[in-house]
Amino acid sequence: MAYVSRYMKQKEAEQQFLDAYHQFGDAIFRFCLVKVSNQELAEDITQETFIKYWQYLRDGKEITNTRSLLYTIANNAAKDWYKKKKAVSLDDRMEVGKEPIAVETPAEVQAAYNEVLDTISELEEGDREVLLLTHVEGLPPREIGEMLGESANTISVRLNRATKRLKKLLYV
Amino acid sequence: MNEEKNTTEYLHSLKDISLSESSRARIEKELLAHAQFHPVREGVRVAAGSRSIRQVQGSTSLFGLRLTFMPLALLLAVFISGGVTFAAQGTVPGDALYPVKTEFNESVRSAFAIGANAETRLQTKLLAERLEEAGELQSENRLSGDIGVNMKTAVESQIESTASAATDADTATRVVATEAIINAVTTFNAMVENDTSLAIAVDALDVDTNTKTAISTSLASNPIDVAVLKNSTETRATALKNLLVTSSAEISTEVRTALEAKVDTALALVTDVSLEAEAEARTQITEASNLLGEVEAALTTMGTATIDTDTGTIIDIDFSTPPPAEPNRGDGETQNQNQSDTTTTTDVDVDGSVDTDIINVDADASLEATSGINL
Repeated sequence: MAYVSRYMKQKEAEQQFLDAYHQFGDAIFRFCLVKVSNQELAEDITQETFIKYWQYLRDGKEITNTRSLLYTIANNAAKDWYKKKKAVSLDDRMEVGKEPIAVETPAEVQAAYNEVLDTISELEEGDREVLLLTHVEGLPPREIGEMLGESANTISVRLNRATKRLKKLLYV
Repeated sequence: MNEEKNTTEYLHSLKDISLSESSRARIEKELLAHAQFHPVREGVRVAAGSRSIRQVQGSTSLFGLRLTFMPLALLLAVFISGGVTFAAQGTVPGDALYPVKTEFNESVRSAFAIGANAETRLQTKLLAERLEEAGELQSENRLSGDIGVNMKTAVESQIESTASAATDADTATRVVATEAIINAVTTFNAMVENDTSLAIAVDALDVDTNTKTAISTSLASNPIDVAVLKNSTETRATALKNLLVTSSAEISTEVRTALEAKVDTALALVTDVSLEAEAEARTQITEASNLLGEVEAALTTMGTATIDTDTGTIIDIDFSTPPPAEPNRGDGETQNQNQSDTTTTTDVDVDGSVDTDIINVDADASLEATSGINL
């Protein structure tokens, strides 16, 4: 009986896990891509993010907002990657440089994505993430602050400055 | 031009960036594999369809009892009311109370089955119940996916329990159990023929080699496995021999000697059967079976036969009540002609339970039919 009960819990948890992946997988991938500017790496960090999310599910930890949790995990995973990146050799770093995205995407769309990504890559990482989360994902400053461990006010100020910097890049 | 607006619109194109189909599928597959390899821990409660999950300290409980006390709690439930266990009886895999039925109710039934034969008969009945459940699921189109896998596991497990109990049972009971196992595998596999992943693989069963061989042969060719035939024919011959010995007062020595000679020949033939040479074995068993049929035909002309409904073997003859039709009795020479059907009512089964079946015994053929054995 215990076995069956546990089996059902596993199935429910798996369903919840896959639902979250279907719902937020693309958004997390975009977030990772904007942070690391490399498709393959962004996919790896996306996968790592969901694996860590499974850890929460299997441990039965309380989750009140799946989306926030996923962004928080992804943000930390990307930070870890930056730490590791500092340790790798120059050659390796060159290999893990900027790369175009989605080979299955039509060339002209891909070019448009790459242009935007290329442009914003000149901004600070903090600027990029706040621009993406606000203008692409439509999240309010309060939620972004919760995810990134900052106050809503800090996020608003950062967003304002980041928008100005991007405008400068585009129109100067 | 509104530069502010254009700046944000410029970013909007990023909204369409998504994982490529191949990457999405690959990651999903890897995530699921990871989740299955690292399953949920004990005591975790998952709220399906909810964004919130909470951990329950200790473990899942009944009346606040820890998991280790679950059997005790269930026993308590029985004492308080048989409702739960009664309600569980009609369940199928996928129902909440199904584990109560298989893990509790049936353990209780098993505890009351004293002796290897009784236990084997119980396990054989439970196997039939598993098949009924599978049939029910199939009729509701639910014999697939996780429920299908659970059902398959339940049938396999019951086959193993039946085979295990049968190893200590007497020959007749063992034959019935083996036939039930063969029937279970054949029937279940026929039910899931559209989903081969659910088919029961004989090799995967934890049963003895003879049973495995019996199932494999049966699946390979429709006729009942030669090993099963050998066993059942031996049982039939032994029963007849015993009957002749105990009927020495009622049957004339001359007739009895003639009948005993036939039984002995049949017994010798069947004991000599080599299971390796199947075709030869079948011929030999058929020959033995014909001889036994002759003896049975002769005996049924002498009185009212009592037949074990499970094995189709004559276990007793009441010489004081001769059969209504068939005047030429006991000449020992009633060969292979269809004797007039002898109606036998009756009878006390090997386990002591009284069967009220009325069986029409067609002298040399229907005995095989009642035992479900086709040569």
